[in-house]
Amino acid sequence: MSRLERNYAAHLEALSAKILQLGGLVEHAIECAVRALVDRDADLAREVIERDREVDMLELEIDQLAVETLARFQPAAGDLRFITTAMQITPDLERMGDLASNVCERALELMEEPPLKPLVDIPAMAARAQEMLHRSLDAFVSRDPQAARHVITLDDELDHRMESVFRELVSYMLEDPRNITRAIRLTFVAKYLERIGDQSTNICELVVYLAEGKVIKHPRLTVDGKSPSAGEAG
Amino acid sequence: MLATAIATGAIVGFGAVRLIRQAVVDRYVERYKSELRLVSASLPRDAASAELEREIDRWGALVGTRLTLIGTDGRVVADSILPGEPAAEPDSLADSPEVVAAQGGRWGLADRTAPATGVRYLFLVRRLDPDAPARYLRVAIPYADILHARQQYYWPAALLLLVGIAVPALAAYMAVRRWTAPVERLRDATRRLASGRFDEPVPGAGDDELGRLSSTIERARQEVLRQMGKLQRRHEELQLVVASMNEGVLLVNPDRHVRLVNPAFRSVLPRRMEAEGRPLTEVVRDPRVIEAVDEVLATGADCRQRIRHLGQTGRSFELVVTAAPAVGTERRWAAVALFFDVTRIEALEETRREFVANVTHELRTPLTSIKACAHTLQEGAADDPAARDRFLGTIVRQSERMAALVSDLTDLSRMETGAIQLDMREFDAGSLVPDVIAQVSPKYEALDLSIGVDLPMPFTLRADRRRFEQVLVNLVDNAMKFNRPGGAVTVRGYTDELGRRALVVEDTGEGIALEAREKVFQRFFRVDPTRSRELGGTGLGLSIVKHLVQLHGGEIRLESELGQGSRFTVLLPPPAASAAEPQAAERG
Repeated sequence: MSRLERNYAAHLEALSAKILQLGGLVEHAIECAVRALVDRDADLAREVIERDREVDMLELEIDQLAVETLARFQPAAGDLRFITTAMQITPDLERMGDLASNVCERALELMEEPPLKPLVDIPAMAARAQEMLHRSLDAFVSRDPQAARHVITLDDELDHRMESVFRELVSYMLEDPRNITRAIRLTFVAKYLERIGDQSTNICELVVYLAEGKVIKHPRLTVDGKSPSAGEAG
Repeated sequence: MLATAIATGAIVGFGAVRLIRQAVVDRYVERYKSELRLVSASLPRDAASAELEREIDRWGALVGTRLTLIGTDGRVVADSILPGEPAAEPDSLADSPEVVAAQGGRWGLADRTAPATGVRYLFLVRRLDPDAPARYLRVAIPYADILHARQQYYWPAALLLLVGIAVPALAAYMAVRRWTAPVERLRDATRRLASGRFDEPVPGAGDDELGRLSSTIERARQEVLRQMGKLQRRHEELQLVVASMNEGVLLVNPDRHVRLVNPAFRSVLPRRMEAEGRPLTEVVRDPRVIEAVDEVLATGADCRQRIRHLGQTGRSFELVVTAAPAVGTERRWAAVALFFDVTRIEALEETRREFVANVTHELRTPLTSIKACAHTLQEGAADDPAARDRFLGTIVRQSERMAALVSDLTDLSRMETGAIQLDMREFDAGSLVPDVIAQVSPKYEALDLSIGVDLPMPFTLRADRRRFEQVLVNLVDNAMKFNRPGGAVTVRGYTDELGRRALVVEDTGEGIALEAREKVFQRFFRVDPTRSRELGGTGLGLSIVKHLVQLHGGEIRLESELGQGSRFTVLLPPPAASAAEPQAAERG
């Protein structure tokens, strides 16, 4: 390996390491956010919001590194796919970090009042969302399209759970108007968790693209914007 | 070597051919010279040409080849032509090369083709004495004869040559070979060693310098093998130690790649892929672990921290990262991370903290009201008989509550430390159950409960009667305390298919929610804290029940439906006699 190639390999590895570091930070942030919500731990919630800066900083670093790698080494094929994937995964992860902060903000607001009800569905949703993120990052590490596709199938369950949380909270609101503020805040939390699942799905779609070069998002559309099944039928 | 032999052979062969060729020609020339001398000596002087012709023919036949007498002017004087040979010769032979050559000396020799016949001859001419009848005598030696003679020499010569070259060459080769073969064997052996194959021995090579060299190398090989074996065993021992450790071990190189993990680590952070050789972030993503490892790699200072809820398992670990000097790199530190599972310890610590908080709280509440009552009495209430009685009553009730709490706590702690000795006897529960009901029910007369008992007669249990009574009192007391007015409490007994004795206490109270069912047996857990305290419970009753049943070797089950009631079932191991002889027990 020449010096240039070694340098190139080092850039790619650093990029991968930073993305996973970002993923780890976000995973941890989400876990802490949910614990802060369930345990009504205000200090933990504030810490998560505070540490979101680290996530943002790391995002900037990754962007810079990706652009630098593109400009200096002009990679092709698999490496090019990896770098473009990295540039798309990073905002997804950063967004999830923001969602964790949002959960903490709602948790802090909820702590100002007595608990509305024991939280059962929301921790379950959180566990599922965390699992999706965890597995999508694992799929990214091992470049495993099968694992990635499996994670995508988990998203439906998260959506269903959000629906049921939503219905339950609506029943609380109907029962007593004093519940409305708290119920709405919990609804937000459920929505944030559902968004985390969606972002994990995005990551998995990118992992499939990375491993197979196949675009699986928006399955009903091709690049020229036509629906392939409609074309066959016509 | 072969090339040298071939070159030598070629040179010698070429020389031999030249030599043979010249020797044969010379031999012929010599022979015919002497014959020409003889002929010329015997030729008659001053003979007539016819006589000369005859004489030449005769000599020609004797010599076996053609003789020609040539005159001074080059004309043929006489010629012995063998039958069938054309006699034609040019008129004058004065210009022929052999004659020209003979003019200079006594002899002339020419190798040329006779123009008339096209046959090649070696012509030898002798200049005759002046008194001779002709000037020159010439003999024509057919070249074919010479060639034929040569052929006879070539083959033996070639054979001799071959033997003469090949045999010494072979001998030399063998000699060299004898010296080089051990060197080659030694070279092959050292090559094997260089490529890491130490299993084949180095061949011996006699007693000379080479032999000593090869035996030295062989000793070195054995030493290397021995050292390798030692290292291998050492490595296996360490491997075994690392593998059998309960703590997760993670070794990270200075370049932040994972060098080694042990099986325990894989249970700490389950990953499907092989961890060794991968970048740290691919194996561990938890920012707390990464930060700790990075810090150690950067500073070389050890680092210890508590990591709660690591990974998907949610367990807690004490993470100790130690800097280890890295071998063979510029950067100086590798990091050894040890993961001690402290989940259980944390849970225990948590339980103890909660317990202390609970006990403090439970004791402080009655103490506060006792203190308040005493103060009020001090400040003059003692003079008012009605107030005095009320406050004294409160003090007595609250101190009784404290006493009950302390006694329950004492029981619990004695059970937990195993200080309670059970006095196991067989007895009939038929008398025990009504006793317990009679003891408990007066407190709850206001609730107007209907109480049912359904026991087989007799219902033999094996237990410590006094302790088991405590179990029943607690259960029946709970069943009545948390019942609705006009509700029912039923105590039933039966023997299950394993011979175990089951005592069931059912109520028609509010029931216990699913998430509370596990917790009702924990100390100080109350489904409804305010109500329970109003009713005067210590919060330790079911905890004591559970411990006592377990001390008896039994188990306790809880079924419940919200709004319908709860059912506690105590299962005790069968009494020894009935387990061995169920029929006998029935007869009894």
